[in-house]
Amino acid sequence: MTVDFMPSAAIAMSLVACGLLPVFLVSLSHGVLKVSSPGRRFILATALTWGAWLATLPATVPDAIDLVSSVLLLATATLAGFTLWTLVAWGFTVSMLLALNRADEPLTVEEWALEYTRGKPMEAFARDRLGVLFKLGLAESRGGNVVMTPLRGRLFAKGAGALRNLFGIH
Amino acid sequence: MIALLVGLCCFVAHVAVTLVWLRVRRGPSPVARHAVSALSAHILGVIAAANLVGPFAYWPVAAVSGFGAVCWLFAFSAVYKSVSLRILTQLNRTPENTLTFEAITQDYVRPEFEARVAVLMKMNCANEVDGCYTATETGNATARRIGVIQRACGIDGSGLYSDSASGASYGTGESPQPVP
Repeated sequence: MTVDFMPSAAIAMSLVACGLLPVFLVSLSHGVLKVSSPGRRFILATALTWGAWLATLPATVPDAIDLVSSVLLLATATLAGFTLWTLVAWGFTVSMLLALNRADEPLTVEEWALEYTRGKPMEAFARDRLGVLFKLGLAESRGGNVVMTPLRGRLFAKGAGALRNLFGIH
Repeated sequence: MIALLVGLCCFVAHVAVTLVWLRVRRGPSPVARHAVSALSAHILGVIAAANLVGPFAYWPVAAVSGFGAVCWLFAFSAVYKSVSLRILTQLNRTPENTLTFEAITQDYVRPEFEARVAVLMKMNCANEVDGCYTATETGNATARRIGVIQRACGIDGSGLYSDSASGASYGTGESPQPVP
């Protein structure tokens, strides 16, 4: 056998830590430990996961390859977890389906949007998504207008455009 | 070191496959293509390396190719699905890089909502009769399953970012705004 499937101690500990991420997330979602904001909850769960793995480092004494591999495995679990977490907490299509299911009666597009935003107008949803751009400094609110920031906004827009071209998204 | 390079080769092969496959109009969903490509490139890469290069450890290969695949999917998802990035791209296309809130709502956000309605109908989760929509059996079953996951994760918001942050407004970065 030319492939060794047995993980080193450091990698084994990082795999265990990867498994702890959902455990921490669920633990921080209920009872006295509950963190109310889903975003902060994920950050805290991630910090606990990485902290748990770091605590095992002195005992496992990894070499450079094992250290890099362990960090990458944890980073993979963190990024995959973040993607799933955002989908469950803020996913657009997912939330729309839940709103339609909640309504329990036929809805027009406008009524569906109101059910989705729980009574707020469509503009509320637009402002909600724009909030991400504002927080990251990619756009600014000026009166009734939204203005892209000249440096960071343009850079991100060009990056996003390049990625869209790369992936063949039109 | 060989293992890390094998992992890198698996990731590069995955990138090459997805860049071609994502341009094919018919076939499984883009996320399914990413998953199939990543798994295939990883398995075939490990088998090929096991026959072509000397002994190596598996987990560094898995770490590098897995991390690369997740980052690649993350980048794709950001530009494929993100409403915020789509608005930013539209802002970049206007001469003054400026749009009114109303224009963003009517010209970009509302069509995005309607596009997702079409997606749900294509997935057989929603049904339209005389301009009114209802959830299908499949849609209700899916919603129930998602509801179970949300309850396990302690999530009960509407899906708006501002509903999840304590004391936040609609997310304008300014003081809370009244509902028009």
